[in-house]
Amino acid sequence: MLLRLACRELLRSWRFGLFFIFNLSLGLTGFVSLQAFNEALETEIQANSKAILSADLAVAARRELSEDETAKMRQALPAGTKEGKIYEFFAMLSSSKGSRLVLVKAVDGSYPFYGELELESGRHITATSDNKDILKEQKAWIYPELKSQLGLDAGDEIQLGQLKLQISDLVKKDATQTFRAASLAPRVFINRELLSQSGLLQYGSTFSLAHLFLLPAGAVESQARDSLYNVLTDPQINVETPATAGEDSGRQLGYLSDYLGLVAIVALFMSALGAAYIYRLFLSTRMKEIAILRTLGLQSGQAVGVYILQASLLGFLATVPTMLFSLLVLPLLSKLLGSFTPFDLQPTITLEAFLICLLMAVFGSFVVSIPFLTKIFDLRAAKLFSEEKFSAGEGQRRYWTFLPCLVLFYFLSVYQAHSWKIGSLFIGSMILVVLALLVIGYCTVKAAGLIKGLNRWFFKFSFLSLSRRAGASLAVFVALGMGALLINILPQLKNSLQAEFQFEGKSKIPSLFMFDIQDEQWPGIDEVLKEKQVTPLARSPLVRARILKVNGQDYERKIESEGFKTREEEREARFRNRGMNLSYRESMSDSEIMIKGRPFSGPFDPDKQARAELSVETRFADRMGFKIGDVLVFDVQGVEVEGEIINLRKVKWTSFQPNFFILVQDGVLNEAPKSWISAIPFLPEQQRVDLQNTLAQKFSNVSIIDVVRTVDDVLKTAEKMSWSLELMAGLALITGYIVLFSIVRSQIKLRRWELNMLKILGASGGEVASFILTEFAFLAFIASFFGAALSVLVSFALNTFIFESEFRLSFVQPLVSVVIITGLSLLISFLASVDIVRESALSILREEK
Amino acid sequence: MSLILKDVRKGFHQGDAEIQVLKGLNVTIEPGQVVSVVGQSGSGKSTLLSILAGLERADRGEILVDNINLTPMSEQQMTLFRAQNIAVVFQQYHLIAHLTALENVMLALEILKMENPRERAEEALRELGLGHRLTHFPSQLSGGECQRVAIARALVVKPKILLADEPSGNLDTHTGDKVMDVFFDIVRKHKITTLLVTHSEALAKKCERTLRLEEGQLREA
Amino acid sequence: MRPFLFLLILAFSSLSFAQKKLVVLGDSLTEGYGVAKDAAFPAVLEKKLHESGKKEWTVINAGVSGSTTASGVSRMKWVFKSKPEAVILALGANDGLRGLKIADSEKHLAQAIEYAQGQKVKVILGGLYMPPNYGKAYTDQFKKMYETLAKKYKVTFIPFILDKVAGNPKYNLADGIHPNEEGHKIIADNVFTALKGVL
Repeated sequence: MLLRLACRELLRSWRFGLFFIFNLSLGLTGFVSLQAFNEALETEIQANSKAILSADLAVAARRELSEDETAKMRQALPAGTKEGKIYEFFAMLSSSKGSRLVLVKAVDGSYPFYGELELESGRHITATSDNKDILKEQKAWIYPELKSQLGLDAGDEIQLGQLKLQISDLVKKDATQTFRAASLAPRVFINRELLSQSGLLQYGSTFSLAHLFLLPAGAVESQARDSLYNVLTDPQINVETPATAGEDSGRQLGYLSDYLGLVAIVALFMSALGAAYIYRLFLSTRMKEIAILRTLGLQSGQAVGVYILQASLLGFLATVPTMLFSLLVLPLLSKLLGSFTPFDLQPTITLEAFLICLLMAVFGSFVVSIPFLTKIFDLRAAKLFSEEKFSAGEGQRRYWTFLPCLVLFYFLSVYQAHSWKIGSLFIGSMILVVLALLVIGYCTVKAAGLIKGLNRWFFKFSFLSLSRRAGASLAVFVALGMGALLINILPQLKNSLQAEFQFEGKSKIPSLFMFDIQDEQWPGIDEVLKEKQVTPLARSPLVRARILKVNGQDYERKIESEGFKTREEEREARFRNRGMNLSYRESMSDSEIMIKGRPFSGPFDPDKQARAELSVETRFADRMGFKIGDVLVFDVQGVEVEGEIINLRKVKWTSFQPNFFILVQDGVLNEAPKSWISAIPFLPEQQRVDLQNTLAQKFSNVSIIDVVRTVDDVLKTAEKMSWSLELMAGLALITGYIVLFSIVRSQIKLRRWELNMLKILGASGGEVASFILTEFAFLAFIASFFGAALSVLVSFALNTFIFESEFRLSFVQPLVSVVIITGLSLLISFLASVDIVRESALSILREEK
Repeated sequence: MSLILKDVRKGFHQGDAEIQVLKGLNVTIEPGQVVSVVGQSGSGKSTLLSILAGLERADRGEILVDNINLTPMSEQQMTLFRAQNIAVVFQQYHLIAHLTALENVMLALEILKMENPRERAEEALRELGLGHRLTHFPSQLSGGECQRVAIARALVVKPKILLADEPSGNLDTHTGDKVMDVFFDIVRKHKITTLLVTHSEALAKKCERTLRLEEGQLREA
Repeated sequence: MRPFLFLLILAFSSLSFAQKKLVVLGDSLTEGYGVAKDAAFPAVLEKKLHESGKKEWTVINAGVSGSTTASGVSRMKWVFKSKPEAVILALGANDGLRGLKIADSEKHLAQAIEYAQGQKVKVILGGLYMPPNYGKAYTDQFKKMYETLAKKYKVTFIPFILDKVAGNPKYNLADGIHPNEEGHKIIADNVFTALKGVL
């Protein structure tokens, strides 16, 4: 019965229904598109880290697993898991052209489950490709460094232990290479089956072994990892997931993923804002019908039911155009993006996005309208006869009615962000923002009523109308303010995060790293560099030390009689006991940013200072629980040195400069035994190889690592991340404006009647327009101004708590958004007023019966 | 001010069909005359009212107010003319909810940039017996009071022609009678040409002349 | 005077009361990468010496993770400021692991031995084997390098200080290279046995 009633009612006011569906689906389209891009990016990131691990899951150890362990391992994995096994070890490669240390990667047919190897001949090696000649013949693929350093090329013979192989190809691009793996030795890919022939792996050999797994669809990596850890109890066996394989870029990928989480929440909030607003309007226009139904003998509960049904029905219907819009918009957008960004994203509407969309549209209507629906109980049918427009602003306030809404959004936020921290932080700041906007809005609305001495009627009545309709004005104010806020958060954060991914010109990025340079080797190295006309980028001294005590407490972890209790405990102990490389320099380098504390006071002065000043890298400080003012005692090769932490510092990821956890004030360790790390700026390949060979000849202990390829990869990733930020911020902006558009449009639609009355009373089209323009421009300007201002605060807080990056305040973006929102409101008001002036006034007035 | 209709026609499209509502109306109303228009629901009373109020255009025919032809007027001219000469009172009062009685009346004056809006609005409300209700909002007024405010708003601008659409339709008989008594007093006192659309024969009888709208034609009753 | 030097001399001199010093100049094996300072073999060795009655000996851990033989002489110059009686030279593992030219490593080690002998500091040479995966040719050459040096300079020689430790997961950290606490105890045993009659 209720459903029939609801449908009949809807059909009766089908025009409003259409309008409602249209506006709601606009907001939802924004949400779905944003979500689709978000998912596509997340997938891309995941694919990236899966490519690095080249599997869903890897069981890694420095020894063979026993039969028992292997059996247990296989049992712990879900049925349908595919398995591969690779060995990695260092070996001397010998050939007629010379010998060199290489990293042998012995693979099987399944390698790589993810990612690919691109060979110089143009072959792409993937899990299923049938072009792995190393598996069929006595062949090997080598890294190109072997060509530049030894002159080896395809066709040449190489020998690894007893194994003789022919080089069949050179590796051009290796997606399985990690950022840090610009290692000591170039890689050589060989067939795992041939390992025994080499005789290299035997008792005492140092190798790492990885069982790689491709999980069946639907299996959860973390679950599989946990069950593997349960059966493989030896702490020397590690289970790796793509999440742990990302290494250096992991933090930044983490930031990006957090950012995308925020994007998802912002998208959710924006669509919810739009939906809530439109529902509210819908219900307020229906209040009168509800009263009528009650006079017809319907119970309050039933009346509520009719409107929940109606709103849900409309919400459900709104998902249809949403899906259609999205299906149209997404391919267009991704095509457009593909033409000027490094992306090849395939955003698709996920089931998840669709379900959330449906949930928001159907169930959201109910939750969002609870505060409103409870007013039905206050409704006195008698009111029906006293006034033509029904006001629902009365009755007692029930604050608890906002609770379900809050709870729903809290969980959705956490779900969307995949993080309790971000979800909670976001909801918390949103509550504060709404409260702030309510207070500001209330003051604004009341202040508008005090404006006197306006000589034009439309100004006067605009402001009067603003302050008299305080409830509605406040709702618009908060909605617009929230909109401005949500619109601005992502671009603001983007600016700050992007700084992480920016790099200062190629001239400052290293192409070669040199380490283990001895003090006495510098004059000779300098001579070579001078001859080759190269200026090194940085020279960092490296002094080995152990931390003995922190604030008087022992720092190192000693093994207890029963051993370490947990894997984590052991790992932590090993980390602490590892000793560390200290460095010193006069001042911080360009790539370092001090985030807390004060800079070094200059060289150490033993007359004035009892302790050396220390600068600690912020992540390390976090991990170790170090704070400014902590006193650390080091053992520098037999000598105790005491220092006090005076600042925390961050190292820019894309600078590629050597990063030291702890920097000591200049003048303390200068005489201690040390070696040096240095970096050479970008050089053309020939020059680079030449320099590398010359240095290797003269200073055999100095290891030189070519990082060009790694740097290139990192920069490409950084560029992608930067674009992702740009993209999502841009999409959020567009979505936001669309939502605000629909809000203002809906709001003005409610005023149609009033504007028509003005027309009948003799107001000209221009005056009617001015009347509504004044009101909305005023509201939009103040609301968006404060919304934008609050967005700076909120993004500052989010940036500080989540991203820990340097906050970059940009005034332009928020101000532009204020202008756009105000302009948009003006435009919509103007269009609406033009429409109304053109409409038949009487028919509208009659519609309002 | 006289009101003359010459062969006024109006039709609506409903799907493919065209429904002729007004099929050539011809009538002349003398200045100061209070005329009622009766007819059944859907007979086109409200359409007629819309056209007379200049809110809608006739498909054909001419409307002459005080011998001025409204038909060729531009939208802008029409708006100005209507504002200065024609006022409308609605069945649903159509007061602006967030404005007080006084402000509702003042708004009409201010839109037309008339002098001393406050004094004139107060005077108009007092004339309708609402001197004690000036600062009340429509929601605080009874239906009869609301309609009186609406009437005050219509008359305060001193229109030459008043169009009223079932002004007592939303009121109970007693209240309606009382409101209409005041209404008739005032229009007669100010000699306003009045067209009262109603389906109440009793109310129609209080007018000097009654016209019946039937089958798209206007006839003397 | 530079502050570090000042501190250093204070530190070393405080220990030098009628004390004999044994310096272990090495790499991460000596430093005790991953284990606490007290668990690294030099500290264990000192304990063993004390337990066996040689209370006058102090063992100084001069291990630097990642160091190669190239750093030998300069580090000796530094650490010999504490006037040690003897030095265990335990470098070369990183040279091998990085595949450096054996001739260069041998030259660096020879320079270090010569320097120590010139300073009248007794040299004990700690030898190492490379893991088999580096290939027989290389590992053989590497092993021979220590033997040649020991013969040439007539120094006390421990052929393989990681004897019984290398390759056994029980005595190594998860990285398969660095000894754990138990491994360090065995190394200390190995060294202690070799030192018998030398100190």
